[in-house]
Amino acid sequence: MIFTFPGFGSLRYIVPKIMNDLDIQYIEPEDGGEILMRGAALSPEEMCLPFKYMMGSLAAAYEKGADTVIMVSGSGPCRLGEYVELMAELMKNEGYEYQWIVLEPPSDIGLTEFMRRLNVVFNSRYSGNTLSVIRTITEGLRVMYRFEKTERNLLKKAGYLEDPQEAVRIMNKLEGEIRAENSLPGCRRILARIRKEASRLNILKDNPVKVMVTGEIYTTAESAVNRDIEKYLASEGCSVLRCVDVTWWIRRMVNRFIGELMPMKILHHMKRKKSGMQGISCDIGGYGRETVDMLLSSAKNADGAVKLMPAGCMPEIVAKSYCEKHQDEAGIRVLNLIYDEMSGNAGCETRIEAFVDMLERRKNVLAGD
Amino acid sequence: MRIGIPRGYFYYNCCSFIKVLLEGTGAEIIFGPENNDEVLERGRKIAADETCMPVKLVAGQIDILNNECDIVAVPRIMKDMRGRWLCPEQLGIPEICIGKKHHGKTVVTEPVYFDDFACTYKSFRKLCSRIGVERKQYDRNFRRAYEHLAEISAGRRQMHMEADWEFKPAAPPPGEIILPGVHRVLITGHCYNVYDKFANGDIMRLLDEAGIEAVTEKIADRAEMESIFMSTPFIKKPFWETFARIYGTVMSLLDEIDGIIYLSSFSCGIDSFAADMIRMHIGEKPFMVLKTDEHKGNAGIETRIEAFADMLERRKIL
Repeated sequence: MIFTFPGFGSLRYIVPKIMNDLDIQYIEPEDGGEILMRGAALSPEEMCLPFKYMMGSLAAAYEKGADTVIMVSGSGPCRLGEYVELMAELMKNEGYEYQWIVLEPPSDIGLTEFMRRLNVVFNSRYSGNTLSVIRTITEGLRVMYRFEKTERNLLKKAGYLEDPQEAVRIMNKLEGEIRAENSLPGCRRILARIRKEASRLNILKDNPVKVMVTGEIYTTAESAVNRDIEKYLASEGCSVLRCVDVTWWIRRMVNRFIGELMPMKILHHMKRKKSGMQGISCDIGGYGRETVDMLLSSAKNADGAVKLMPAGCMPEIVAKSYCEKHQDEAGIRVLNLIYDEMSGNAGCETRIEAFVDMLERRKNVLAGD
Repeated sequence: MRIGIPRGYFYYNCCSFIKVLLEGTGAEIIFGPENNDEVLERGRKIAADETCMPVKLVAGQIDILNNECDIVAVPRIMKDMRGRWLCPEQLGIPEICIGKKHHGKTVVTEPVYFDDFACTYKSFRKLCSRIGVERKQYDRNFRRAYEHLAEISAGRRQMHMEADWEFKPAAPPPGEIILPGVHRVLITGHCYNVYDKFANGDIMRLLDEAGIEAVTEKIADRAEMESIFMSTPFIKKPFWETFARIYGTVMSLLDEIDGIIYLSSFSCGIDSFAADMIRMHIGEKPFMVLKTDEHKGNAGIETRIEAFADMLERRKIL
């Protein structure tokens, strides 16, 4: 079996390292504009953007020799949960004979079923002891956690630097080196070095414009989809607050699993009530509810927020309507960016620039007098 | 007390539920008006641009009912009787469709999971206590209403809308004879598209004029639909109520019909998935997806239906 998986945020970098260490064969997913064009040609017209990206990258991986797809799925009302069915059908019709391993959240299918499916991956190549598999995965997750933390810190720091480009440069360097590295210990060494480098950056400004970036998870976490919006904001001189990444996603999933237990449910409810956030009162699928919570909290810890979503994303449309109706009383400023197959970036950049200028003016001129 | 129920998913699927629930309580139920341009125009001002047309229509309905009723009930339905989800935009209807000016009168129920008796009981209890229904009467009525809904879901009873709905073709001008419908075409899609004349551009009349007999899921057997859906080997069982229903209908009626017209609203997330799944599963049967949106020019739909009718005719000759 030669595995492939749809690229998603920093998992794109880390999963290959885990698989290297476990001696599992895989094909790394590609990213970039050609993948999207390819996926769009294979997909139904109105399907959302993540689907098209995944189709494209799976089709490209098949040609390189992959034969099994590891795919995450869900069972909420969001479309992501249904991807796998339509993908399998469409790919079969186009002549891509894939096998599918569907990883659904353990809270829906039970932990045993989840482990059984996961076992298929490891048993094919690696029948050795379970303990070292677990150790490698834990190690991989730790590296990913540190990697994302470093990136988050750099993005946050960018606005405080004399030259914000410096932070972006370090981030690019980090990504390049991690991508080229093959093993987990190597990644750790790179991370340690880069973190040292990052800590040496001089902080000069004291009150930059703080912008929160949030929205639909795939669009926000995949820099290929949002065309590096975080780095663009950072190089514009903003301190960027990244909210949604793979660490957050995994934490969220674990929370949901634990949240099925009664005391946690009550605790969660109390926490929501205490924080005074209204938001959407029930789970409407995807991460629409979480997006609203984050956007509402941006009134406190940021000057403005950029909300990303792919065209036609149903939960985010609800989140958007909620925020549009409540933005005045909540005192939040939101820029909605909707992504589709159009690959021209000038429109987005103009809007972001105008948004940042507006925030800067509010902060420095209007508040000054 | 006058209680307004907007014409949305809830109206089409649970109309009899609410009627039984409020029987003998002195509350008068007022359903929203039949959709028209004014409803859409009002809805457009409230709902976000990206939402689909049916949701905008619901927003307009709430706006109109707000002036006419004492309370506008907006039930937030999450899952149906069999534990299948509605689409996320339907779940978010209270967020999308209720503007600031409606806050005094609209009552949004707690999330309703129809597969969970206790939860449904609690959700509607709050609505009813606002209306002033006594506990005892509520208990009695709720049990009956829930059973009613369960019977519909199991296929032992017809949905109010389906039982009520019937297309009556216009009488022919004197001197002309009506030929019996030569082709039978299944109109499928979301209930709020199929049964709403405004949303689907009056497709039943257009089909009638083209000499096609239109049937809806009304003639399908619910139990059979369900068993067909459950026995299809999916990699992952789809969890949407609409998908299960449409898929079941199409597959169970496949031998009795000459073609299928899928009514879809523009930018509907479920349809983008469902239409393609069905297209791949029905084999050679003629299949047309008709997308409807806020543009109300009907010439496009007419042309496509004409072409579809011609194609059916040609297939018969060949």
